[in-house]
Amino acid sequence: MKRFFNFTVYKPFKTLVITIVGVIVFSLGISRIYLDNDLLHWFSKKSKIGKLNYYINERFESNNPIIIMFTLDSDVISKENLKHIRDISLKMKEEKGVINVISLTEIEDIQGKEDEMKVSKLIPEDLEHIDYNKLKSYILSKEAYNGSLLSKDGLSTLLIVQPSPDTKADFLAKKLRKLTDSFIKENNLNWQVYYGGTPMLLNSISDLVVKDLRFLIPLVSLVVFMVLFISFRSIKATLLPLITVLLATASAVGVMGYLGLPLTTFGVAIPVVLIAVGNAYGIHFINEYHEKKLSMQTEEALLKVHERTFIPILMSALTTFGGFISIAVSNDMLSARDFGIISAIGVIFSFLITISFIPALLRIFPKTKGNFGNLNEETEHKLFYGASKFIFKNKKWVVITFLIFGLVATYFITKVQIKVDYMSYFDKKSEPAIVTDRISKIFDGVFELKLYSKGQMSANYLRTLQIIEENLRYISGGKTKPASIVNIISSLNEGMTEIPMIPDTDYEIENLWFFIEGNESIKRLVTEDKNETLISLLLPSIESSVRYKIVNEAENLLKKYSSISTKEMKDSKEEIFNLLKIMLKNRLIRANLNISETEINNFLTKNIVIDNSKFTDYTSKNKFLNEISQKFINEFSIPEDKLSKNDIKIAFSPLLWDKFIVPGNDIKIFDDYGVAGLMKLFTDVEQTLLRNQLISLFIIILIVVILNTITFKSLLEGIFSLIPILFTLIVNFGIMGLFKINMDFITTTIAAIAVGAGIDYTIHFLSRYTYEVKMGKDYEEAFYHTFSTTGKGIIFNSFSVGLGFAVLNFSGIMPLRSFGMLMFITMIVSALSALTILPALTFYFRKKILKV
Amino acid sequence: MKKFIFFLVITGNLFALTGQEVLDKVEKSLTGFSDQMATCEVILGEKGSIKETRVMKIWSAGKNKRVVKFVSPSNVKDIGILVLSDQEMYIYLPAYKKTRRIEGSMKNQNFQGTDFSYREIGSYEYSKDFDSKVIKEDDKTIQLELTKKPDSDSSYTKIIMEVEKQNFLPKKLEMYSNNELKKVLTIITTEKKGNYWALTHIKMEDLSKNHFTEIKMKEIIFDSGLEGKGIFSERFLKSSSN
Repeated sequence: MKRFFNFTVYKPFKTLVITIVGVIVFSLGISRIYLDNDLLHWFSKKSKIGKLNYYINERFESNNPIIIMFTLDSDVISKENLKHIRDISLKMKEEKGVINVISLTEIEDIQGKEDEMKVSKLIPEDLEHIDYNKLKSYILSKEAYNGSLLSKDGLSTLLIVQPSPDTKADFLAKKLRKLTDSFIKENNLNWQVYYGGTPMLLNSISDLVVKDLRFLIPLVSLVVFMVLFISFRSIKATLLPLITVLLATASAVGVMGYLGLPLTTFGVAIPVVLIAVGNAYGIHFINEYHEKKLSMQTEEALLKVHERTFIPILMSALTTFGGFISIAVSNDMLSARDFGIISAIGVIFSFLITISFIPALLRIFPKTKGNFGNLNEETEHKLFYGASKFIFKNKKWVVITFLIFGLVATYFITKVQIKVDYMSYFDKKSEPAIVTDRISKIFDGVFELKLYSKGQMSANYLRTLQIIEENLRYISGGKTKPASIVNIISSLNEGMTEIPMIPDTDYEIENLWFFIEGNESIKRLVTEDKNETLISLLLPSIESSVRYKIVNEAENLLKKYSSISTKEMKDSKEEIFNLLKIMLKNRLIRANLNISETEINNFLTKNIVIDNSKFTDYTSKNKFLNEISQKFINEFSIPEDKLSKNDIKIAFSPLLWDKFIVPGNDIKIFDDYGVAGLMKLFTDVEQTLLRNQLISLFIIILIVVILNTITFKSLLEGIFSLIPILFTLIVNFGIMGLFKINMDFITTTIAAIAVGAGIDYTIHFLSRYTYEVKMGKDYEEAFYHTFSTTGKGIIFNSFSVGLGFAVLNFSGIMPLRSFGMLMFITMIVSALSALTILPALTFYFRKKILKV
Repeated sequence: MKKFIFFLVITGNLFALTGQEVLDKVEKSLTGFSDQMATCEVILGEKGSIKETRVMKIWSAGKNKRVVKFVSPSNVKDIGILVLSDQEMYIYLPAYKKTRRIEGSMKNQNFQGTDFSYREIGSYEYSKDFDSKVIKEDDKTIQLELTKKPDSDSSYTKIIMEVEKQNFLPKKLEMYSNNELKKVLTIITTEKKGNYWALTHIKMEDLSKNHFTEIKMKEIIFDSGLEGKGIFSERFLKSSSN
């Protein structure tokens, strides 16, 4: 090492050139950085969380849909408006990367009438000869369109664009937004346009990321500059650690580019975190240099500083490095892993540049007036000395106060909630939050939940899917209408028989498949070999607990019905009535009709006798279905324009089944199954957060104990040094519980960073304290001296780091704001703990632990 | 001499065919017979490898009338389609033992998992939907550019058709939608049976899906009086293809 120290001191120009060339080479990688905030891309294709999602996207050629809502000042169903909707839909279809556009003018409608099956566009090509009132009533009466493509008031409509799986949906969304805006302008339309769906949200997140980086890096630099200037009172002494850390940050971010890692929301934190954390090494080096320079020549002073500070700075860097590495090691989430790795690399760069660049520059420009913390100023000395005396006198109360705070914080830890959701990125008043909320209120929602299943397509298979989707819809509140092959086969069967139900025989299903095989619009629901299917639900942003319930129920339903038994209809009255009740209720909820379950049950008991022996053919079945549906309509005075007879017929159609399906072991339905989609992804990430948090904490605590044991040459001292940081962690989680700050994928990293960065204060305090005692001071005097010298340094250091983090409070990304605020608090709390509870306990246990 | 060359140029231009005339000749050479019946092997493939083989029978008369019936595999056996005109199409599903008239926009959709649309199966009528012009010509071939007529509902906006001068049979068709090449139809083998030519092996490739369909025609019989035998009727549609 000595050769290295000599090199930096005696060959300063060479050192500077090597450092600057190195920084330039690494920084060039910045140009290769790209943005990616798609949550799925944060997991590898092989990861447990990502695997099924990637498989489904590939197999079903699907991608997150882009959702555009138009709200008009006149009826959507009019000649002029429909013409515009058709034009914009066709324009979008022409865009590269668009597989399909689902809109009122592009969707196909299947109707069966006597001996004719009509498969045609819902809105006829010829817009001249249409009875628009009749058309509007028809669309609003069908739940496939009402609330899916047309709002109940007839003033809003949706365009759902499906990007191809290999397309970057967020880029496409940006293009479509531009296209729509210019279309609206060109046609002079007074339409309100709401851009929703995950790709649009990703763009908003990426915009926030770029905006944040432009704003936060100068701001954090300014804040750190000001804090350092207050400490050093010298421009040069202030600029040196700041430049060091900026060079290290640029190099680390450059490495990110070379490694092909994307910039994510985590990425925004990297420069801020590095600037905040990394300047401490420079501070210590310069501070020591100032002390030594008073009595030594520049070269000698620099060499001495090298020798004295190398190990503490290295240890400090290694603990912080350990904090970031523990995040990287414990996370399946690639973005968190990248954040941990790049920040850890940044810490190493900060360390290397500190021990090379700073001494070389100080050798060239040796004069300095700076004085760390202005140690000689009497008032400051008095203040810190007084504080140390106060702590010593009240050490018992210090311990009691910390205990009380610790207990209160522990209580609030139980209140910490875990929530991962794209919407948590945004302020409630931000455009994406308002748009998503509005779309979710008028239509189903924007976040997808997908139920995947694999098995031989048969009548039993499709009826099982129907039971699952109706139950899941019911659990989700009934409003959301799932999309699946069930609806399509039922409609085609209606085309052939006028009965909207899954047919009885597999042969009939094979025949119906004839119509749709190879059809683009069904590809996102069933594979070409028809062995794999999806049920897809669009849901709004909902509470984690509700989402857990829906996802769990989806998994349970798939598991429960993976094998089934069939029961005679007459023996299944209870099960049939329960299914009918659910199916009717789902449709009534969507139509905003308030009929209670008790009323439905009473209707079923009063009017239905289960006896399917009376059904000889489709004609008799249709007659029965029409009669019972009409009875229901009459009984509850259901208006045709709110809920069509056809939809009520679908709800009663299980009465026509030849056998009823119940969970059992006789017939294997699914060879494979699983739940996927963004809703599941959010839930999976939430479930792994706590585990990741505990693993990363365990790793960093282990690293700290090992390093501190080596530094202090005592295992007990190594463990003892954890006390302030453990208290800090309790306070951190307590504050999260008290102020309802969710644990998300960003705030979950706080604990490990807090340990890695905050432990430095304990190291500095304990090493100085034992040093002073060994130098001959009694333990009380040693404390006073340590507090008023190193203690002051710790306070300034914690403020410079903490305020650096606090800058994140100005971020546009909500989790980063919480992260910044909590990191500021943890830095201050860990410094205060190192200066209060640590010495207070030291007085009680010094003989046993510190042996002083 | 100069006068002679001038004469040649003038007469050469006079004798050159217009795009529409070439297209008419192509259609005539493909549908010149009064009727045709054949058994077709339909090979479906993806990314270069064969996925499935199906067998169907086709009966056609004139430019519009067609009956298509599936022979195998068993799950689609006896499913039949009857096309009487552009606006009149019927389908028979044996599982339901019912015939349904199909109305609406199915004709541009893919036919039973193949890369041919309902409109394209067994039909070579282009002049109704496209205007044609010659864009290239050499000793052996003529290249036509077919552009969609304003009132057409075809899903293609442009077709580039390569035609053999010798027999006015198409060699290759490139179908475009908004300047993006969507499908390519290649005529692999042709055969002359009596007075008529038949495209005995064709291949349609859907470029966006990386999917292809080959059709091999066997047992081709021309001019057997199909109309008189009541082939283009619902009754025949319901009968078994055996």
